[in-house]
This record gives sequence, structure tokens and C-alpha cells, in this order.
Amino acid sequence: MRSALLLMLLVTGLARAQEVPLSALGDLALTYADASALDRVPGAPLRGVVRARGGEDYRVLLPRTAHRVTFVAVPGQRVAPGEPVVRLEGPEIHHWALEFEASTDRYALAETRYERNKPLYADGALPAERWAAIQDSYLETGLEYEHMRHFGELLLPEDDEDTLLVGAPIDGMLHFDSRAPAREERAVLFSVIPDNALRLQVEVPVDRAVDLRSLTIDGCQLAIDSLDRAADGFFVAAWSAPLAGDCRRIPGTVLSVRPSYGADALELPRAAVFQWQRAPHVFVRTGDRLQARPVTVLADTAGGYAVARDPEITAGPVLLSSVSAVQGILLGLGSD
Amino acid sequence: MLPAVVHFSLTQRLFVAVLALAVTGLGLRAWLQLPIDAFPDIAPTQVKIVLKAPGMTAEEIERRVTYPIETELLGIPRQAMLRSTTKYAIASITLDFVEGTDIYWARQQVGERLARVRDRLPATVEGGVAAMSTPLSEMFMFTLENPDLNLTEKRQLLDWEIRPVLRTVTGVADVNSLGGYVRSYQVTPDSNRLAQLGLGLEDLRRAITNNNRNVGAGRIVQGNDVLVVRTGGRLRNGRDLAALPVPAPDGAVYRLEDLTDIDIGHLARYGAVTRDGAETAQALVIALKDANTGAVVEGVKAKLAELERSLPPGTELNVFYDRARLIDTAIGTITSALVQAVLLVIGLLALFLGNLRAALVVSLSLPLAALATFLLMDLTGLTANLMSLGGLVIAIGMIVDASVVVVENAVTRLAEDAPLPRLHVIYRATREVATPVVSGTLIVLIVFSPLLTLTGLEGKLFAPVALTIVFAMLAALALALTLVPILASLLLTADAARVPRFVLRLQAGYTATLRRVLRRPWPLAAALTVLLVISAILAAIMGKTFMPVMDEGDIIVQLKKSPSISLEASVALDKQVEKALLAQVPELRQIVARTGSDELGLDPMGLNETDVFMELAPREAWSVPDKAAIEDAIRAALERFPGINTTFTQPIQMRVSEMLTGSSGDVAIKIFGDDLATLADLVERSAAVAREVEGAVDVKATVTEGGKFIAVRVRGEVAARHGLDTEALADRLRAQLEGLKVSEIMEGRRRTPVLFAAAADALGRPASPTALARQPVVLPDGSVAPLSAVASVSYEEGPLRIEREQGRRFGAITLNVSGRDVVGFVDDLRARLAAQAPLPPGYSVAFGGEFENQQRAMRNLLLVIPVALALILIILFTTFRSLVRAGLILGNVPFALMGGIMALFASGEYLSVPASVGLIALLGVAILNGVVMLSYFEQLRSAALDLEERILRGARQRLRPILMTATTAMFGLLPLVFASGPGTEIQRPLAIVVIGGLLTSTLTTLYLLPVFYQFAEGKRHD
Repeated sequence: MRSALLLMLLVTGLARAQEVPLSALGDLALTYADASALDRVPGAPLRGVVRARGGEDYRVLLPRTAHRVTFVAVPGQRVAPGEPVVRLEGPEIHHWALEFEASTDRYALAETRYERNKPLYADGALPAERWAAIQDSYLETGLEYEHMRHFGELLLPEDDEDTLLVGAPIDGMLHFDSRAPAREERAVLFSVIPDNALRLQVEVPVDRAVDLRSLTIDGCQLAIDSLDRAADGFFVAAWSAPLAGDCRRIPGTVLSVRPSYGADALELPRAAVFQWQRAPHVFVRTGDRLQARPVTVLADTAGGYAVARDPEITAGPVLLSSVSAVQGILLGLGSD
Repeated sequence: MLPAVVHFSLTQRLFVAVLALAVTGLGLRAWLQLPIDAFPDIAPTQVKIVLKAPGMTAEEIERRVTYPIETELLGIPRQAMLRSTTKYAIASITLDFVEGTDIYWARQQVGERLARVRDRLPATVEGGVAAMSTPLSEMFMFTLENPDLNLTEKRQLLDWEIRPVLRTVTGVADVNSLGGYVRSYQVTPDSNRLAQLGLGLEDLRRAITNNNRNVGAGRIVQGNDVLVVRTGGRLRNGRDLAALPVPAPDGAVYRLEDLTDIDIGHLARYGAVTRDGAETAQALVIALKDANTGAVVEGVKAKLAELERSLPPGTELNVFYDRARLIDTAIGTITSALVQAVLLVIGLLALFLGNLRAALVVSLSLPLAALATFLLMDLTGLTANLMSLGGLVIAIGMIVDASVVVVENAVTRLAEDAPLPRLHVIYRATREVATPVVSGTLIVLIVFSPLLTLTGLEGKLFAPVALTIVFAMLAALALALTLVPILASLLLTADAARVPRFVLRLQAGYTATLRRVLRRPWPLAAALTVLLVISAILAAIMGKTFMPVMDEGDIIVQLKKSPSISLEASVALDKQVEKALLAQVPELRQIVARTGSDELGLDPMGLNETDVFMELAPREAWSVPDKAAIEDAIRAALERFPGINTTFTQPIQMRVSEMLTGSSGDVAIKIFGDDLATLADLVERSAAVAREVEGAVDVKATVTEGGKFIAVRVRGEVAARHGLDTEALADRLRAQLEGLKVSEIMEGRRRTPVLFAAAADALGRPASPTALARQPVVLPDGSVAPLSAVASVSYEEGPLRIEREQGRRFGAITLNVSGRDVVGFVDDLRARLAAQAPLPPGYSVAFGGEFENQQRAMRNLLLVIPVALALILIILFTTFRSLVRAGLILGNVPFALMGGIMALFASGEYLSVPASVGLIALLGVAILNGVVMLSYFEQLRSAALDLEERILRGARQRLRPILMTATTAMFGLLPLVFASGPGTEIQRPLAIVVIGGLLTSTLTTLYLLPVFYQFAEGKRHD
């Protein structure tokens, strides 16, 4: 009983030690502010890259190795379907037209053969192995043809029959590496990023990823569209909603991005916070006293600090000026 | 030999006259060119090392910087005290040498030892041996005001326009700039861009440092000529910096501005200056040790007057501290006292001698002795200051004694109308008194000799007093034996021997009363004995202090705030305090407050410490009677600002206290020990005990604990994988938090630092441990990681400052004592501490501050005064050939001291070092008067008179010279009792003691000494 009483007295004493009556503050300038609610807090800048999320761009592959690749459009340029993009030259390119012609013929032949043998196989006049070979040949030539046809559909009329002029397949933003354009067969010649595929990709620290709510670049606030579930080193990739309007940037742009993280927080001015008993505190005015209350700093904000929401902090206005002097009172300064 | 001197003087009158004229001329010249200062140079031979270690905590600096240097310095011979203060980012080590050590030798020794240990210090440590100044060298301070300039521009003007010019003034050691912002080029690396290109901070630093230089490459001999080849790349401005090429690993070359944001910023601030509630920039002129303060201030003012024309329009150099003002006031006060003393003494001489010619002859020795004293001061390098000139004032009354004796004897002999040539009569008269005159002077010199043995502050203060008195007395003696006989031969007539009527009446009255006393001596003896006992009791219970506080005219209030306060918060509080003080105390002309450390680090204050310098309005504008009332008003205003410790001091007082004890205050309690936490606890407990002791005010416990740190520790394995180590991390963090200086750009004569620093916007720099932990860091391998991924971030507490003395840590409590004496207070405090705050094993306590000085001074005086008395006894024995008679004269001494003590008690002054000096002076005059009286009794021994008649006749004859000696000494000091102004606080107790003592000693010389003589002679005849 006695020890409980002692403990109570000790606790009361400690609590009192963290209180200062307003009447003891003399002529100190006292200004107050109320903590304001925050649902998101800013974070340290992140590295962001403007790019299309994997698969959302339209890629055009080089059908054959080209000796010369001359783009007639520039990276980042908006293109419409059929708009000239690149002129390809070289022996293999020259042969490509012949190959396409041959492929068309081969496909026509294979198709005729397939159609002709189809009833025969149905009637059992054609052995299964034979029919399978016809089928394979048909599909193979068909694929080859389709492949060349798709590329061929992108071709635009050109006077010089030794060159191919390739046009844009869809509406969007042209993207290619102008310093080292693709020349090898099957390499990505260029890609066209549709408007809804251009996004900001950021690397978010793993421990903060789930709280990421938005990204800000030069006044543009972007919502988060998706978040990878696998980490790359210290970071996780996150994708913004498509960049539109004034927020559009050239693909490949590397940016310093201000992230915002979701939080159930209060915003306090910096001048209100002081260190006391190994933790940040603020003085909250309750009645005729100032009480030192601990706060948990979640983040720095432009206006001060985001601190964890706590009803004790919102119980009254927090002291903004002369905080260090009041802290000095708690330390016993000025008592002589 | 003495007769030969007198003979030579009287036969070579022209030569002596020319010599006197030469001394007069040289004396005048010496007076005009004597270095003038308010106080003597009281600084010991002191060498200070100031080292800056950016970003390092006190404990780390102590371990890696202070301790190794102290260990090295402890081996230097002739050192008296080694002290150090270590704080965040700065270490200040002070080495005091024993008296008489050559400052240049001392500096060389310290420099050599420092160079030896330099390689073992961390690479980031900068600084070294501080300028050759003393703590009293801060002699001129001003703020730079211009409404059109911002704080950076003000600071630039100070650093690059004003400081270099002022440093050319002879005697200026340095100019300390404080406040404002030091302009810098701020390079904020874009960590994302750097990471993308595989570049790190090191690459940027290399690009900047390697290119920002001009390097000599050798010479080409072209025909008959030599052409020097140099590679030039030094950056000239911000554009050059922005265009600096930075090669990337992919072979591409970028400009610095492509990879960073380059802006104008400022160095991290460790201090600030405010004036009347607004921030400003300040310059503080520091004089070289031993420089002529008056001349330096004049030189500085002249340079500033030249400079002001070339400064931007609207610029005002607002001088708020000018030592010349103090010097003028102090020297004016003491000179005025000197003139008044001379006039009073001349008046007294004329009154007692009753003859204008005789008075003129004696009076002429006054200015001549003074001029000869100035000449001797000049020759011995003594400056004209409060103390040396005060010594002259003290000596004024005694200077004339020798001349009075010579002139009086001369007129007596002339009146006898002997059939001898006039010159011969004068010669005989002078020869007769030459030996007693020399003996008397010798006694005075011996009496003052103990002052020359004082050490410490009291020695520095009172040695000039003693020396000046010695010079003046020697000059007076020389004049009395040379020029005075000549003047007497030219000016004196037989009329001069006529005794003035009032003296005759005095003699008659005196003879009658003395006769009664000789016949019934016991009532007087009993009364005097009772008074003696009372004075002994008074002396025992009287308050004792080291030195009265000198009024310097200005007030400094030292503020101490919460130890972890930021500069911004600290300055905000300062502004509040300043505005309140200006509103509530109309006697304040302006307030300039300095927070934190100065640029040179000579006074490494913390961000929580502020020296508030208050310049007072002219006295005519005061609405209160004195400075104490102003201090009360300030104290009342400051009491309305709780949570801040305040201490009152003055510019010189503050520096003297810090210089002598390392701390300011009447009493400094130092607790020595090893463990900082235990020390802090002991200091707190002892301070609590001290606060309870009666008379304790301004009790301040030195805050050693309270440092709040964020410890960042590299996570070894993760960091190593990316090539990161602690030092590399520290560099990266410094770049983000405080700024990392990587180079300088010379723009004309301005050197602008180039810093890696975080953007100045609100979110650029982390402002909480949480934000710091999340800060992205570019790792040496070019990757980026949040800080928390490669290092742990935790909160820690540690020492804020570490004080050491003779290699041992200590914590201090300083306090002032009000309403009681310091010695009694310390006795009381010592007892209470022993009972209420006992120290654990390994810990010890020492009491310092002014108390320490007082104890030392008393110890020295108690040791030396008996020796002086013994010497005097020998002289008296030699003169009278009788130990009894010598004893009779010395027996008069306690009665002289009795009057001094009673006067001191009645005036409310404490028994201090100056009062003790007064008692010493009293010894001299009392003994001298005794000699005058007793020697005449002995001269009359040959006359056929009975003992009583002999005593009565002798006493009657000696009444006039004794009264003249006593009154001239008393009236000579009277102006000091009533003078007000800087320095008079020290001279006043001295004057009070001498005047009070002379009253009683004259009484006892005139009545008690004859009684003793009668008693001794009667015994002898029995």
C-alpha cells in the first residue's frame, strides 16, 4: 500500500515536472497554433523515370539487319498511324521485298495445298502423317507471311525500291535510341507509346512502399497505379497513373520525385517541437498550464513536422514561441 | 656621500638647473607618449590553441584532439596552468606560463608541440595557435548597419573590405567577424542523376578540387629569356563552377550544373549577433599583447574614417564598445584627482609654512617629481593607467615630505642669522637633515616593497602602484637634496622662519594637553587600548573580498538557455529580451548581443550562450541615481524571462575572470573527476547546496551534460558491399546536413567557399531523426539507398562540453556573493558541501574565482609584510642605535592600522587587496612620523632639560612637520575618496584606510609616542 502510494506520488511528481503554469512565464512572448490534420506526409525525394509500363508500348522489330537506319522522326514526337518514322537501307532490306513476295507466294501455295488436301484427309484418303506435314507447312508459311505482312503493313510507298519506309503503327509517342538505333534483325527498331501507357516509375524504399500514395513532379500530382511485389535491392518499383496533359514528360526522363505517403497524422510547426527526456515533445496549453507532451515524428513537412495523431496533442493549442525558454524552466534554468 | 651631493648641487647650480629643465622636458615628452590604458596588462603569458573539428561531438574531440594535444603540451617547461574547453566542433586549449616567461618563446614551444602531434589529429581538424592577444585585447567593437544590405552582404563587407584594412593598423592582432552569413557557393548534388550515371560525391569533389587550381609546371628557356609555364584552371566565379566538366564512367562529359543545383548559400552558422532586437553583423578588434591600446584605438578609428567613404551608401559603423572611452574616463578621473591632490597639498604647505616663498620651493618639487616619475615610467615600460597614476596620487602627500624637512630646516637655520654665507647655511641645513630624509624615504620604499612581491592579478595590478610610488619617492628625494636647496638659496628669506599664528596656537594647545597626558597617561592609554581591541574585533568580523568591482561604464548580461537550443530559437529569445530591456530601461542606449561562437574561436560559446552587451546612455540622461539602479532595473526586466540563466558582468571583468580562473564569478567551485555523468550529478547537487548558503547569488552550474546526439552507425556488411565506410558516410551526411567544404573560389580578394550542401528548401535538409533515416544516400558504387538501409540511426545523449584543468576533467559551479564577505561565505560553503554533498573516492573539489585570488594575495602579504617590518626595524635600529626606540616607533603601527580598519568599517567597504595596500602605505607614514618625533627628542638629549621638558619642547617643535606630513598625505588622498568613475572603486578603500589611519596614527604619534618615550626613558634612568 505504502509503495503504491509512493509510486503514485512519483508519477504525479514526474507529471508535474512536465507542467509549467502560464503565470510563471513572465513576459515571454507566447504564441500558439493548433495542430492540423494530415492524411499524407511527404517523403525524401525518389528517383523517377518516365517510361511505359512493360508491354503497354507498341514495339516494331527490325525484320532484317539493316545497313542504314534513317529516322525521319525524332524521339518523343507524337505520331499517327502511317506517319513515316524510319527509312531502312541495305542489301538484306533490299531482299526483304523479294522475300515478302516469295513469302506471299509460298503462303498462297501452302494455303491452296492445305485447302485442297483438307477434304482428302477428311475422307481418309490422306494419311495422317502426310496431313500433319501439310498442316505444319501451312502454319509455318502462314506465320512467316503474317509476320512479314504485319511489318509490310507498316511500309509506306517509296520510290526507291532498295529502301523501305516504315510508318507508325498506332497513335502515340515515338521512342527509340537515336544514339544507337537498332540495326540487327529482331532488334526493337522503335516503339510507340500510347497516351495511356506513359507513366512515371519510381524506386520506393521497401519499408515505405505500402504507404506510397502519390508522386509530385513540378506541381503535378500523380496517383499510384501499381506497386511491384518484388524488391530490387533496397527499393520496390511503383508506377504512377498515366502521364497526361501538363504532366507529360519525354520517355526516359529521369526525375527527382517527391513522394507522399499515407498517414494518420497531425502537422505541427517546427518551432513547436523540442527535445525532452530523450524524445521530441510539444507544449500543449490546457487551462492555465502548459504541458509537455511527447510526439512521434513521422516525417518532415514543408510547414513543420508530421506527427502521429494523438488526442493529447489536439487537446489544446501548442506553444510556438519561447519554447526553449519554457524548456529551460523544466531544466531548472533561471531559478536563481 | 650625501653631503657631497648637496655640495655639488649648491656649487653647480646652473648645471643642476639645466638638468632639472631637461628632466622637465623629458618628463613632459614621456607623459605625452606614455602608452595609455585603463588598466595595467594583467594577462599572464598565455598561449591559446583554437581548433575546429566540424561535426565532431565534444567527447570525440576530447578523445581525439584535446587529450593528445594536452599530453604533448604538459611537457613544456615553465607552464603554470593548462586548461581546455571542448565543445561541439571546437576545442580551446589555454596554456598559462609562469610570470616573466617570454611570450614569443612560449608560442614557439606550443607551436612546436602542436606540430608534433598534428599528424595524429583527424584530417578535418583546422586551426592552431590563436593570435597573440590577451583576454583584454578586445578593445573596439562595432556593428555594421545598412538597411539596404542583407546579412550576407554585411558579413561580406566586414570580412573582405573592413577586416583586411583594419589588420594593417599597428598593434591590431586580428579582427573577429561575428554574425551574418558567410557567403558560399552551394552545390547540391542530384543523387538520382549521379546514380544514373554511376557518379559519386567523390567524383564531383575530384572534378572541383583538381580543376580549381593554377599549377606551376616549370620553365622554358626561349633564347635568352625564361618563360614560366603554368597550368591555369582556377575558378573565377560561379559561372566557371557551373561549367566545370565532370567525366562520367560511360565516357560522356557533363557540366557540374548538369549534375547538381548550384546556388548561393552560406556556411553553417555557429553564432549570430543581434542589435536592438534585429540581426546584424559585428566586428571585434583584437589588439596584440603589449600594444598601446590608446594608439591602436586611434589607428582603428582613423582607418574606419577612411573606409567609411568607400563603403556602400547608407552604411553606418555603429561603435558600441570603445576602450578609448573607458581610458579617457578613467585617466580623466585619476588626472583630476591628481590635480586636486596637488592643489590641496600646495594649499596646505602654504598654510603650514605661512610663507609663500617656502611653500613655492616645496610645491615646485611636486610637478617636478611627477614629471621625473613619468620619465622613469617611460624608461621602464610602465604604461599610464588607473593603477600607476593612482600610485602617483597616493605618493603626492609623501613626495613633499623630504622637501618640507629640508626647507623647514633651511628657514630655521636662516633665521638663526649665523655669520656664514647664505649658501653655506643652506648647505649645512640640508646636510643636517639629509640622513633622516634618506632614511625616511628608504622606510617608505621598504614599506611598499611587499607590493612588488604580489603575484597573480593583484601583483599585476599593484606592482605599477608600488613602482610609481618608488619612482616618485626617489625623484622627490633627489629633488630634495639637489634642486630644493638651490631654490631655497634663491627664494628663501629669514621671514620664512616665522611660524604662522594658527600653528603657534596649535602648538600651545598641544603642549598643554600633552603635559597633562604625560602626567596622567593611563586614561589615554586605556582609551586607545580599548579602541585597538575594538578595531581588532572589527578586522576579524569585517567582510573580506579580493577586489572591489570596477565600474567599466558598460554592462554585460550573460544569458544561458536550454543546452540543446537551436541558433534560431536562441536568437529569437535574445530579440525578445533586447526589446523588453530597451522598453523598460530607458538608460540603455543600445544593446548588442552575441550568441554562440565567434569566427576565430577565441571565445567558443555554445548556441545557448549569449553575451548581451548594453551601452548606457550618457549619465545626464539617466532617470535613476546610479548604475546599480540600472542593474536593478535590468535584473527586474530579466526576471520576467524565466527559463534563462542570467549573470551580470562587464567587458573587462568578464574576460579577466575567464582568464584567471577559466570561469567568471566571485567563487568558482571546481569538482574534479573522470566520469562525466558523475561529475554532472555532483555539480548539480553541489549547486543546490550552494544556493542555500546565505549571500549566494547567480549560482550557475556549468552544464556539461545535455548534449543530444543522433548516432549513425554503419551497418558493416551491407555498407561494405557498396564500398561505404564510416568516413565516407560522414562526408555524405555532412554534405546533406551542414555542408561539406570542398574548395574555394577566389573572386578578387574575396574567397568564397564551395560547399556540397543540401538544398535550402524546407524539405531539402532532414529536420528530424526520422527524416534523416529516410534520406537517400548515394553510395560509392553509384547506387542509392535510404540511410536506414546502410546505417542505424539512434538517439543518444552525451556531454555538451568538457572542461579540463591540468589534464583532469572537472565540472564547475560559479556564483557571486552578495551582502557578505567572500572568505566567510566560502568557509560556510565548504562546511555545508562536506556535510551535504560528499564526494565519492577519486573526486576532489577546489575553490577558485576571486576567492582564490584573495586567499593568495593575503597569503603573500602575510608572508612579506613581516619581512618588511623586520627591515624597517633594522633601519630604525641603525638610526637610533636602540632597539627600544625602534620598538617605540613600531609600537605606533597598530594604532595607525586601528584607524584604517575603523574608517573602512565606517565607510562600509570590505577589507580587500587595495585596502591592504592602504594599510601598508599607512605603515610608512606612521613610521615616518614616529621617526620625525623621536629623532628630535634624541637631538634635544644634549640640552640641559628634564625629561618632560625635553619631550614637550621636542613635541612642540615637531608638531608642524608631523601635521604637515599627515595632512598632506590625507588631503592628497581625499580626492580619491570623493572621485567617481572607473577605477576609483579600487583607489577608494585605499584612500579611506590611509586617511582613517593617519587620523589615529597622528594622534598616537603626538600623544602616545611621547608617553611611551617618557616611560622608556624613565625606566632607563631608573
